[in-house]
Amino acid sequence: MVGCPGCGSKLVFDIESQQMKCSYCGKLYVVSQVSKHSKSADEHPDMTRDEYSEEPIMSEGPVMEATVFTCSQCGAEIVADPDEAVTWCSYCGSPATLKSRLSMIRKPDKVIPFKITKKECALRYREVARKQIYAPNDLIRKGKAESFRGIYMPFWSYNVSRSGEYRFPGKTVEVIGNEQITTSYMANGWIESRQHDLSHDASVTFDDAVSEKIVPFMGKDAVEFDDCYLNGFYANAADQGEEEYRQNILSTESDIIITKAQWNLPKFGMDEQAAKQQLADTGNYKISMESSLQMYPVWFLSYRHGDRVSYATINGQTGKTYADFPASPYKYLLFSLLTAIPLYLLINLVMSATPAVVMFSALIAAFVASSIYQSEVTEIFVKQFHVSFGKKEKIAAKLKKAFTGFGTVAMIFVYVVLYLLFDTNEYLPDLGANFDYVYMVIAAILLVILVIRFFKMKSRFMALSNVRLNMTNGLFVLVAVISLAMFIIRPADDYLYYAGGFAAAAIVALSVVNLIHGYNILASQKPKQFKRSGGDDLA
Amino acid sequence: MRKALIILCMLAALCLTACGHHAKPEERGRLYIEDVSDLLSDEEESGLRSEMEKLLEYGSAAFVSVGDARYSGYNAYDSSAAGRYAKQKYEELIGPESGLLFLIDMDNREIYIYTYGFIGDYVSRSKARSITDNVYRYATDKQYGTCATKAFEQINTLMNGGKIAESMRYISNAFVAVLIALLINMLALRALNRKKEVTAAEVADANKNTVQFRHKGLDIISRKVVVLRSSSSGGRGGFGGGGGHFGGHGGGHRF
Repeated sequence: MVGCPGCGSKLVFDIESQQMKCSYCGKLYVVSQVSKHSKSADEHPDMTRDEYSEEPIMSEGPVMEATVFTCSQCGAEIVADPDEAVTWCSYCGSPATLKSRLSMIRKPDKVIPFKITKKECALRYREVARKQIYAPNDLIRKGKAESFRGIYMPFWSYNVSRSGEYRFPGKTVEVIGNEQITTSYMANGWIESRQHDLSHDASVTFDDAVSEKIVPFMGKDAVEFDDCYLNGFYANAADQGEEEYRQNILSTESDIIITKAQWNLPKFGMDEQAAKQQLADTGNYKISMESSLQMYPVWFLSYRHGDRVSYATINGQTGKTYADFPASPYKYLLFSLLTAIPLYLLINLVMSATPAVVMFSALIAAFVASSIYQSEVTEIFVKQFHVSFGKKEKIAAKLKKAFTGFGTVAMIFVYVVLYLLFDTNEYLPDLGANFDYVYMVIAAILLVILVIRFFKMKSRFMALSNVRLNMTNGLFVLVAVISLAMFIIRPADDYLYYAGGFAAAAIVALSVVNLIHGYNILASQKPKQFKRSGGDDLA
Repeated sequence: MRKALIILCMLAALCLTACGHHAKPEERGRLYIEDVSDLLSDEEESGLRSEMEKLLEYGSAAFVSVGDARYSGYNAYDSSAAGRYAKQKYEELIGPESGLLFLIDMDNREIYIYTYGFIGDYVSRSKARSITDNVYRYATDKQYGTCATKAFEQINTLMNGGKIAESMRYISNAFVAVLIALLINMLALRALNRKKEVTAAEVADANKNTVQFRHKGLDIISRKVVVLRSSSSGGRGGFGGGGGHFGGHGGGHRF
């Protein structure tokens, strides 16, 4: 504990003044005045690392003494002042017993002190949460200043220099008169690049998917590390070596070079992928990398719902906010009903739906929901099985295509044109078209597509072994079967149509609620079992 | 966006064209009963006639029934066959004047109301559908006379400014509204939570970096020229003038 030179009470880092403040007398001190020197093993040759901990977190670089609290629920480790009352785990959100032990951790080289206060942080969170109309109320209410915990997260910061001869391919296509001219180019020259403070989080506790959303941190604010800055906050110890992320950093550095090349080089239709490959060939360039361990400020809020946990993280320097908001199925259904009221009034003004239209609407809704489902299952699959980055990108592109793809858009277009405009509209001319026949053909086509999707997605949802998601896949096919059967039978009795339409609509509603379940899996995680085996993201 | 606006304007224009109102005819209309399928008893026919007569001050009124001997347009999946026949019969009997034709199509097992002019302004497509929906059960029970009489009763109610039950319309529209609302909210939920990826430009702007290019040149590796086909081809076609057709509307129900 760093004591106040005046009264001896605890000093904490005050964000507003960027100085140390006495928690009792309120007096302010410049950090360097009260700096407490870290007791590193190097500075205390009579102590060995083994005396502190059996398993030092980082084996290379300077080390320092720290009190590490370990959550008995999830195994996450938090570094805090021994006087700090650590009553709940910031990672799994549980009020678990946290065991403390004295340990050796890798001493950071630099630190970016907190710039955003807890109050500002809560305001930024509320600004984001305000738009989340489907989020559970208790999650919105949780966004009070006292719910946030300031944590210094370890990041490896790299300075990368590169020099060498570049050769970037490109292609342009131009039409002159009735000639289409395709020209392939090779841009060449010399490149000198120096990039500072490219960073990557150095803790396995901090999910990369989350940390990537709140970067970048600005290295210009980094100062020499002093553990005074940690007073009043938690910290996380680095548990990954800097060599782990060199490839990621080189990839980011290449992206920046390509962005700059597009701004600075003449336009020649640069093939970005090929240019990136050329930059990745380290034989062409002289590359040097220097790394340092830095502590970056992050405000952290964890929200536990059932056996899952969602996170809100706010960059303590820039205020950039990332938050996962699970959706409440009740709120979703409530908003759907509220949306349905004005829609119903509007629909009554312009159209007169028949029971067959209800059936067809349910089919189209099932088809669109199936597209969303396909995208969701793939995302969950990628999340759970950590499909390699390249593949993930490809899948993401496929998803986008599937969701906004021609099939879905065409179906919605056909639906709008057929029903809303011609078959059911009060005012447009009666085309006298044979709609029942059109509906039957479309239902048959959609059934075939949905069956193909069912088998295409089968291996993925089987791998996920999630009953609700598995069931949803079959429900869409069931709606298509009911619809096609209705269009073939063409029952004269409205009640049969209503029964079919009601069954199909109920199935669509159920599958949409299941989609919310899938969405919530994506917006949360099973608390990781750090340094333990058997963690399952979906269980 | 511009295309969407043009389409919207075209639709609005279509709506305005279709919304034109007709004047009340000065002369009384004529009454037609063509019960080819012999569905009505004498008693039923006289009851129906008295109901149809009430409509004549607004235009002509026709009751037509067809059976397999007279009608060759049967197709199990052609829901528009009855509608087409009703329109054809209307043109034949009443012509381009205000009127209403009630058809019982025994081939397609469908009842259909086709209407045009002043009466058509009151008996819209939606109302025609509601009326046929309200009375189709009589036809299912083979009470064709009651079915037609009840239909004309409801038509007269509408012409006198009254209201009729439209349960099918309201129930079906409610289903459609709920389905669309479920989807809109699902799309909104996903849109609200779309996370922006950090771009290379953002990372570059946040920190000190210098990237210098000493550009030597742009070598042309290959050049391919493809001669495109001429896009100017002669336009053909156009709109032909219509002869004797007019835009009425109607609605029906299978029984």
